[in-house]
Amino acid sequence: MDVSVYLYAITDPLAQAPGLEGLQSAPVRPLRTATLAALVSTIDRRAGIGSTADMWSHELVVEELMAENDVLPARFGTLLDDDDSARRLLAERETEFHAALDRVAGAYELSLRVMVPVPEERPSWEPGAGAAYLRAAKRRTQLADDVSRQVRRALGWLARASVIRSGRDAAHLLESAWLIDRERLSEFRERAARLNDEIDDAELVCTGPWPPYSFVGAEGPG
Amino acid sequence: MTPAPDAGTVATRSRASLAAREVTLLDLLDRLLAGGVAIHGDITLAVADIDLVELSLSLVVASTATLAPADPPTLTAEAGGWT
Repeated sequence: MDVSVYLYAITDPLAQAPGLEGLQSAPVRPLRTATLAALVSTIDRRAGIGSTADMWSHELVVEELMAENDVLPARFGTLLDDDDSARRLLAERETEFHAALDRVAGAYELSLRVMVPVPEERPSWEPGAGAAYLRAAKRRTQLADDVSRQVRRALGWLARASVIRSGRDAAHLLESAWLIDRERLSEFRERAARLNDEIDDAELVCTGPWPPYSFVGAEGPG
Repeated sequence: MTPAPDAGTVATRSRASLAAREVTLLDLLDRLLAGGVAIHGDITLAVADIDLVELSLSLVVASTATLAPADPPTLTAEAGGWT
């Protein structure tokens, strides 16, 4: 067996390990230093990981942990050589991890996606097709700007931090992540739903609470 | 810290509709593969990052196609477009 240590999250040293099994049905265990803990499980590297089920396993371990603790979720697929490597990581980046834990303390991440209907694509060579395309592109940019402004105005004050970026494809106009105090989650969702009713040309889809994946980089949000 | 009542599993809450599941899966992918604490340097195995993510994406495309036979083209395109 080609064994590694799979990292789920970094958290408080007093955190209890979740009762859930992790990837490859291995038990999840905490590795502690004096001021931090890394939640890990042993993994057979040769067996391969990367299925949707693996991703949900990772997510559910972190979600269970975040119900009781502030967490820094690890990126999927983070492998360390062994337990000592994990402890060394905690020691070497202690200051950074503590600063990140302070930033997300008491908060969860919510996702807000702005979806738009995608017109059926029919290639056209008729006169004026190019101009029509440009008009449509301009309308889309305008809509993205407008909705982005509305969303910021209606919800921005509720968030500790936020990231808004362009969507990945025609159907996704905008994607955004919001760092929200736990006690404000319901209010954010209610206001997002209300805003969705007010906006005619797009649909807002809110998911979460997620672990604060979008707010734990060394460089802060982004 | 007191347990937060809102911290249920996303998986459970999102079974309401296929569309909600698709969005939830996309949100999951975005976060797990592009967000989170990134570990670089010699304590990370060289094989970890790139290979697993590539593997992940191909498997996700395959599995969402199976998961959502009603509407695979959209989701496959979205998952495939993710990088």
